[in-house]
Amino acid sequence: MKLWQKIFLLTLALVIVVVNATSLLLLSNNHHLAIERDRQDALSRHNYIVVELQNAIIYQQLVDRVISLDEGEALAVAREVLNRQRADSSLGVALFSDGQLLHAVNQTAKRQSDERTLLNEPAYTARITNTDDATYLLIVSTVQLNGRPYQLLSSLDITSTYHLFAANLDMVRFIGTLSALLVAGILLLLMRGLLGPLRDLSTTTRHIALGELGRRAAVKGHDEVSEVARNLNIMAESIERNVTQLEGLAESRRVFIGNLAHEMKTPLTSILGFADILRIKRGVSDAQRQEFASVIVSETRHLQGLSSKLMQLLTISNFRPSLQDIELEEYIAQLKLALTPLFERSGLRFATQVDSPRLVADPELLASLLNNLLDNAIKASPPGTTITLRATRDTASDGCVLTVTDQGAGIPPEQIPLLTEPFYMLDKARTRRHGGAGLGLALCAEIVRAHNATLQIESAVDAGASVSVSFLPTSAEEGHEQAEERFDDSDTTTSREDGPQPTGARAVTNVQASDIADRPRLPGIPPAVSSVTLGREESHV
Amino acid sequence: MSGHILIVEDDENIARMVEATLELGGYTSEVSADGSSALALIQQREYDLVLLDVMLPQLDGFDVLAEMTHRQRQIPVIFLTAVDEVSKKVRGLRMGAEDYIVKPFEAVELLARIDVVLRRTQRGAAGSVCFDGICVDIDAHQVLHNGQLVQLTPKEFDLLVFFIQNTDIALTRERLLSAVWGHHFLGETRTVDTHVQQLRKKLALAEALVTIPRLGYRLEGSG
Repeated sequence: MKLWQKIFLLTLALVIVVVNATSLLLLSNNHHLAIERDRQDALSRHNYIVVELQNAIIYQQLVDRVISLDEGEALAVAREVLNRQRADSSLGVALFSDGQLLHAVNQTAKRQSDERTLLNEPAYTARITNTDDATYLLIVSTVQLNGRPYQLLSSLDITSTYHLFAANLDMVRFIGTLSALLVAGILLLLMRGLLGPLRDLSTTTRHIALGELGRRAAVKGHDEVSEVARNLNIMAESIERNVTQLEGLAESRRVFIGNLAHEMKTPLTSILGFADILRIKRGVSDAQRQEFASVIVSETRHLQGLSSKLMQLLTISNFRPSLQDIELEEYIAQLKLALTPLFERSGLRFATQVDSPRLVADPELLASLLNNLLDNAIKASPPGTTITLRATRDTASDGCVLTVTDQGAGIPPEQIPLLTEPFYMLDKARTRRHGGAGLGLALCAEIVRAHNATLQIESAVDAGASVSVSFLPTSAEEGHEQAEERFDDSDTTTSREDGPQPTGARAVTNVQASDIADRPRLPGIPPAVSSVTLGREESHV
Repeated sequence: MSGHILIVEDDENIARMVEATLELGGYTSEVSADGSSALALIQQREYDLVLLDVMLPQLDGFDVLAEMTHRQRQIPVIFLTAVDEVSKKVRGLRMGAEDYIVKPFEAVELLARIDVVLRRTQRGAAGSVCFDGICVDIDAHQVLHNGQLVQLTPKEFDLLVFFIQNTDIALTRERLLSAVWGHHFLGETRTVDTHVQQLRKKLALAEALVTIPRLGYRLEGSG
């Protein structure tokens, strides 16, 4: 049975019982009072007749100057008194002597005269009796007349009282039924009004459960049901958000894997094709063998580079950087020394400028970051141009900013947000020729994220490009705490995260966060004490 | 088989590989690295077939095919692509491509597909193939060895034709099985061996039809 049916039936039953019981009680009480009044009325009239009888007898005795009238005369006097009652038909009287009816006035009294049993009762006796469709109140008493006992019976017609009671009873039944119907109607309407929102809620919940996640319940008023609706909406919203997030994650992972598969298939096609030709061809010339084999080797190298970049991407997302204070001047000087041959080979100049003495970062990751940024700059730069690496102090945040600027082909503005997406290549052919797979900037973005830093790319077509990484001012100890926060809540990172993440790696991050927190921390190297000249240093290679 | 084929492929190494493979099959070829220059070439020169990469910079393979259809240059097209996706396959074939090869592929597979397409599009051109005194009339299903009619079973005939068409290319038993007996043939590679024995005996090919250890067989020309 449904809730509304239960409430409806219970309330209805209760209302019917209460209404009927109350009115019946009132009615019966009224009836009793009416009967009592009738009885008082009957008694007083009965006594009046008794007194009349006695007075008439005494009067006759006085007229006749006798002590005792003879029986016949006394009876005549009594008859005369009784006959006066003829005018009032509501009251009948009858006089008995030793159980014998002597005289009766009015039909009713004659009929009641059969009630002989009453006559044996002592003194006053009242009784209600029903004859046919009439009801009478009978009163019997013994009267001493002329020195002899007589019984006087008076019978009052109280049918009207009973009729009134019956009529009232009918009325009560009618009103009871009517009120029950009325209450039933009102209850039904109330139930609809009160339980309607509940029904809507139930429908909404079912729809949400069936996957219609955008569905919301209507919230009306401030009652309990609307509160439930509000809470349901909050729940639905969070479910929808989570599902969307999961779908986005699944989608970007799908894209990542699709790109990865494509990136792997391209070198694999050359490798398999050339290997197959070498296998099945008869009489391969030395020149051809060399050509085919070197393609196989270079494409295998490409795959190797791809896999190592992928591994780096994975590890950075799962690994807390071991932060150290880095003396930038020395660090950049060493980097310059190491890269000199590469720049010479490409016919490029490499300029450095250090305005900020030190930086808190993971040295290995910093090296990877700078290598990737410089590598991109080299690929984009025509021979004879200059690539500049600057370390400056951000006046607003007091942090360190590393900037790599080239004078190359530049990047169309609409492509800039896409650059940090894994496998995104500005120029597919050129990237491939250099053995790239489009993972370099994705890797940089990951490293930047690991340091709570921000990556900014500024460029215009034919105006070169400038990539800057802004680090927050931290000591090594603070840096560790921040890095830890990053693992606690990956949403707080300040780096530009608008674009899709390299999700293959991101998904693992959360799983391993706790595991990383348990790892022993590498102690930060104490801040450097040697002062560094803040001068401008620029050199060319 | 011979023919002039245009390779539209943006990856240098793959283009070179396909070129070498076609050379192996006796085809001549040209390479185009992007869609618009491919369209220009198609407009200017005659090709028997176009091998079209789907993922090309700017104008992709589908665009090129659509443009070819638009310009009414009806050259058979085989798509080469890294994306193994049914919907793309269907799209390519519905646009009028003859076939669809998913990267990476083996050299012989590419040659076999090209062969099928060229055979279908150049109807009636099957004619005859010859190898060192053996002349096979494909239409008449006749084999003449030094002018003498040689009786071959249908499978031996097909096997011989496939060997001559792929002269100097090593063919694995699996490849021979699928080429002659069909992809759904559930026989053993031993079937190939017995048929090769029959060919060697009937056509005196003991020397030319060489067994390549761990690989299969190769019909070697005298050159």
